[in-house]
Amino acid sequence: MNAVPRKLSLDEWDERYAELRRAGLTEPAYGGPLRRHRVEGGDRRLDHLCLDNSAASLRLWNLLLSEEQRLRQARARGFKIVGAMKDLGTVPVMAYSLPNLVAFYPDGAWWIPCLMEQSDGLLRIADSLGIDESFCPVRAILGAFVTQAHFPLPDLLTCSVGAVCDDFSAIAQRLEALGSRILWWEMPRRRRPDPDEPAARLPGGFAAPASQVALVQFELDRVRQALESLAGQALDEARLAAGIRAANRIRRLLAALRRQVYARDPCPLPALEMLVAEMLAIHFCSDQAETAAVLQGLLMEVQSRVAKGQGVLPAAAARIFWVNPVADLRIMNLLEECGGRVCGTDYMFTHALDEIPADVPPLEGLARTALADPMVGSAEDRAERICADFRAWGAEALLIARIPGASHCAREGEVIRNCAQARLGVPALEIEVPSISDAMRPSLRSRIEALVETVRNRRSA
Amino acid sequence: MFVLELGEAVGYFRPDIVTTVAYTCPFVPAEWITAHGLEPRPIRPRPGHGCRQMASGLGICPFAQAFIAEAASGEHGAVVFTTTCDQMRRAAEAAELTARCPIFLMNIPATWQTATARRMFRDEVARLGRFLTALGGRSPSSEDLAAAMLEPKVQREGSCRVSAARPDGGDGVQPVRVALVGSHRMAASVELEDVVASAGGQIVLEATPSGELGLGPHFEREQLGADPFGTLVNAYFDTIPDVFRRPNTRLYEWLALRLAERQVRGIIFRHYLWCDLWHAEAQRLKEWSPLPVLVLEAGDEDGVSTQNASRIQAFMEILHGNSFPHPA
Repeated sequence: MNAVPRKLSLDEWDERYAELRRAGLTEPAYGGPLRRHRVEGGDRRLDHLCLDNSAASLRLWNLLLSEEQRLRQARARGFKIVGAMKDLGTVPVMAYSLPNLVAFYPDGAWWIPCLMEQSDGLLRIADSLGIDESFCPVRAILGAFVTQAHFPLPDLLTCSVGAVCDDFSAIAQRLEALGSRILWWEMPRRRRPDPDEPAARLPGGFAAPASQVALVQFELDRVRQALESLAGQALDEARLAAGIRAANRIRRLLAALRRQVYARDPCPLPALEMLVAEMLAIHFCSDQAETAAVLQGLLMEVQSRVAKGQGVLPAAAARIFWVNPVADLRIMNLLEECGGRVCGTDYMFTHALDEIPADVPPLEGLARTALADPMVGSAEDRAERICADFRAWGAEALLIARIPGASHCAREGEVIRNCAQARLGVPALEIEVPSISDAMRPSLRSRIEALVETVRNRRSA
Repeated sequence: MFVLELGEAVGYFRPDIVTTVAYTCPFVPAEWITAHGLEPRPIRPRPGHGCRQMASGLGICPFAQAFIAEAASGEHGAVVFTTTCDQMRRAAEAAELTARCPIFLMNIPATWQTATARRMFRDEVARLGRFLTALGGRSPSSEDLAAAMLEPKVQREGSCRVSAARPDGGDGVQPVRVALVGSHRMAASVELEDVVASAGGQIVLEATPSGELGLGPHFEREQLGADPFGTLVNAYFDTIPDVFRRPNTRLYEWLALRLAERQVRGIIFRHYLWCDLWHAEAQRLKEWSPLPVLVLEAGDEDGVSTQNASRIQAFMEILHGNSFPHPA
């Protein structure tokens, strides 16, 4: 089944899928040809994406693109569904600690207008509700709740508030006003401990006042009680600890995958598949066990490619550290078309990649993880971590993807860029990527090419 | 957080010149600042006042930008930012780079229905107190605080005004009573009252955080009891129905009561470009209110734009000829 690594169009994937089947490919229940997501699911963007040709990547895409169906099946089997908004990796760990709960990430609806090339009408619905294009593309979530065409309405909807972006806080409030009941839980803005103030270490290296950890722990305990009530089962320390161990297993797998991909040359797995793989850490794509299996499969594929010296891109591509997720997945392809590759990322959820502390009581470990969220501290803190990770991955340039309308992007891009230039002395570039960027593609290409050229010039200088 | 650490604040700034503490957020208790022997200064930032010197770009709220400029003006002894919105939270970080005075960023909980949120607010008021002490303020006793809470000068009514109606031209036509709802106001935006008045209207309710919505509590001696600090914290926590609170149902309860009380006939809803929290309420307010709503988007220009003035004028003309029911 192995083939020389390369990227395929959807048309080419039809043949590749048939070839894999002939070679004896076995698939999970959600498997099948990628074409069906285009035909049955309306995921038109697949026509314009270049996708890795491995069976492991096929499984990854199938897991991602079958989530809606999986959620509906879960409900039919009697599972309760938890929509975990904005916390990016904390509440889902708790929910999956109970055997009859499934958690998903409604914010993920921000990719629907991209995947369906806006044939879904979600942004138009958001417009009609007064949430126009001055808001982040996550406004698509409103349309998804209104139409109920993309995921079943959750039995419990949670949302982290406080030190979150204004867009999401406003959109979630609009959602509640439309009739969705929300369990709001407080996330304070993370501050550095005052001198002599008791402090706690956080995953990722930062510290927070112990009082803030305690506060978030209280808040998570409210969430825990709500989950217990929904599940009709106790969510005690033993269960939470087991849930954390399961989440950490996935985080370790992802860490191993990132090490293999970002540190190796030639690049063994494309940026697009790595973006999707990293996103799995947030909420496990509604199936924790399958997430682990998918990541394990990707890791084995990458290890095999590395062992053979194979890559999916030419050697010596410009090593780019990528900041923020993109609303249009096609841009990840564009970077590689321009001669770049991703070496290190901060997709706004580095706290979902770091292991959850297991040497403290479970809720405290989760509280520390939640407070390590790069978006709840200062932009300077975030930039500091980006610089540290940049060095660790041996990246050569920084690319910041500005999210249209997002309140946090108004300032932090500049802070991060200045920090990278001052501390690392490396080129940094900011681009803005809407849900469908085709009209801006020439301009985006020019900008990314300029960054790649700068990297090459620096090498030869 | 102290954007400047306590030690730095004491060492770098001369406590003898730190007498005024500027802020825009109604959750900053003026009485607490007074009790520390310092002067609270609830301000409306001046638009364009030094803004052009700052790094600015797409997506930056003009109000937050103007407040950064205030911190850089050298006219305040210290400036308090709050976390009531992402823009202000991040503005505090930007202000740190240009401010000519100590900056304090106060965490204000968005939730309000739990003991945890109340405790968080209490802890933050106490932390603000440590900041004020580090600036050279005194450590207030309960008696100091009680006295400050009863002092009329720290009541915030002075920052809010009900606009004057246009002088009666002898035609006997009563001005149209309108409410102004929405984002904080900058100093020059008081011109809005004049535009409304010249169009035959009168703002009888200013439901903005800079206005009546953010007035905060009023204290009577019998309320204070043995724990003035607890009374202060609870009063501020419970009485300000700001838009950022989750859920923000109290905002609508507050509005319903006052719109009816003041016999308001129309609502002017004003938000800054990039003020997501208020902007998102515009459509909801239209759906909720039986009164007509005029939505104005404010940029960073001084005063009222020509386009907005024309829209206000048209709105007033329409209201003059119609009568709409009040919200239930």
